[in-house]
Amino acid sequence: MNINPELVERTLIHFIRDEITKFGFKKAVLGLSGGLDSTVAAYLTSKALGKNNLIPLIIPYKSSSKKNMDDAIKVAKIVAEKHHIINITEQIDIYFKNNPTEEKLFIGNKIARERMSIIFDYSAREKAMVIGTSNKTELLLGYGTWFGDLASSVNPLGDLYKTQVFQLAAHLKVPEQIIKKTPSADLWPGQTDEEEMGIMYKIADEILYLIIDKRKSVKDILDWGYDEDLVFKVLKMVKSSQFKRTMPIIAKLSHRTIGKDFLYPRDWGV
Amino acid sequence: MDDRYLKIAIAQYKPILGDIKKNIEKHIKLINKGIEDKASVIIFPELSLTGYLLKDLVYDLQLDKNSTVLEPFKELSEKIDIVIGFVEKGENRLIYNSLLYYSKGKLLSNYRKLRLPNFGMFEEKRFFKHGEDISVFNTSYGKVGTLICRDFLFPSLAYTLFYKGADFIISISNSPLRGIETKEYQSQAMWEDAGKVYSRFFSMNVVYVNRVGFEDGFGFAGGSFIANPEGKIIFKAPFLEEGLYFTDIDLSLTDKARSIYAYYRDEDFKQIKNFLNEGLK
Repeated sequence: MNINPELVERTLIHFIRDEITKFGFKKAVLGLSGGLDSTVAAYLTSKALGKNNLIPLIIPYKSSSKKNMDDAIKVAKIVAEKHHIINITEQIDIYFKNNPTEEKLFIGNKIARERMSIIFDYSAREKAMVIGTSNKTELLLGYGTWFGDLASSVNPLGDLYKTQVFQLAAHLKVPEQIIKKTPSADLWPGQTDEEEMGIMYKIADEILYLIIDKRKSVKDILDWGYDEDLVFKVLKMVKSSQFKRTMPIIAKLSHRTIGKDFLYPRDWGV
Repeated sequence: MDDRYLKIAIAQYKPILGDIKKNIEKHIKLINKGIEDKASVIIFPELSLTGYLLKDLVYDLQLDKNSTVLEPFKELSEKIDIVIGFVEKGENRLIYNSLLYYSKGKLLSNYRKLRLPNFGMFEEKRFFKHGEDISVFNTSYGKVGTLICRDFLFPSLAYTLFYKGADFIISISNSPLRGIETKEYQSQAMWEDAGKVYSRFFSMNVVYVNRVGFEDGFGFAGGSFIANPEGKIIFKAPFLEEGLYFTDIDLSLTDKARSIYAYYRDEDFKQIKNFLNEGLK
């Protein structure tokens, strides 16, 4: 599970630079939350494109933690020449005034999608591509809002487990308080990832790494002493969130269908 | 520089996916640079005219090896030997992942990839037919055999080139980087291990040319290298960096290795042939 952070840094800098500039873009936007993933993504993008070409967006809601906001501003000043702060309290509150709900998850998803809609709006205004910040753990467990924080054009962290993002963050020397912070989507006060998922990142990462990266059998993993309930919980989360990791499905009707037998790479001709 | 040394130019190059015209322009620039710096041969990676992740693009990009589009390479090869990779439209409308070797104004050799990878992230068999032949050919600097990417991971193919008398293996590649837990990409060790073993035990020079750049998230590692007949890596290009890299190869080392270690003399090819025949019964 340990990575060579120097090699990863170098690889991802090339990845970001290549996958953005080949489409004729110079700039990138990303949502900065004051958390680990968006900070690491911002550091890498800043190194890849230069400080003048990264535009971080800080998009607080009234319940967002003040501490996260301060940290996000601190990071924005390190990685970019300018950033924008867009408060979404008004539009979210109007929406839920007209469409009331008590479900925290609905509100959280709405906030995540509002943020993404703003990030994509800014990507058009700034002629910039959207950098994703979802890591491999979140993607595999489905811990993210579909078409919300999971949406992006280029995602440098999608093949790194949370544990590995921590290693990379330490190597990149991101501010200490961000590495030490308890991971949270900060969609409501007191929310933490690990409590909401019902599993610690460290253990989830180990189980995922063994099953996916090392192709171990469930039997082997249980034999090594991993908790049966946790292993099956992880497997269930991966399976039930598969839809979030694919493009919307299309009914095959014709003799040549997008994604099925019309097969062209995304980077076609660029 | 006397005849003892061969100046070789490795074009660790980043193609534009699916754009043959622009890629040929890029090739020509690099070839002219190679001529300017007095290299004897310039080697581009696998599928250098098209890029790798082609999928249905193979149908749009296939070229006959005698296509007029390729004329510039023929002409430029008056001044430098040229190795390129492309999607070949073969006889009976079969499509191959192929290599062309141009020299002295002519197409000297056409090699078709034999071992197409079709597992994990690879699906070459869906789009390409595998080749049927392997051979060595004479150049101004010795006998050369060529391989394409995964071919290089089959010791049997390198051994076949050894048997046929190759002084050089030129292997062109599009190897995606993977494995980030070690000092270098774990995938790199696989190529270097093979290169060191072939060069040492077959007493030949091995030139491995890989590309760089990303396609749909696949990163190509670069890390092109040359291993000499003593099994030493005498040149290695950096990871991920596009560039034209020159190396002078001491041709006398092949004679030296052949006479000192005598692997070729002491190999018994007929015996091996018999062993293989027995095994197939």
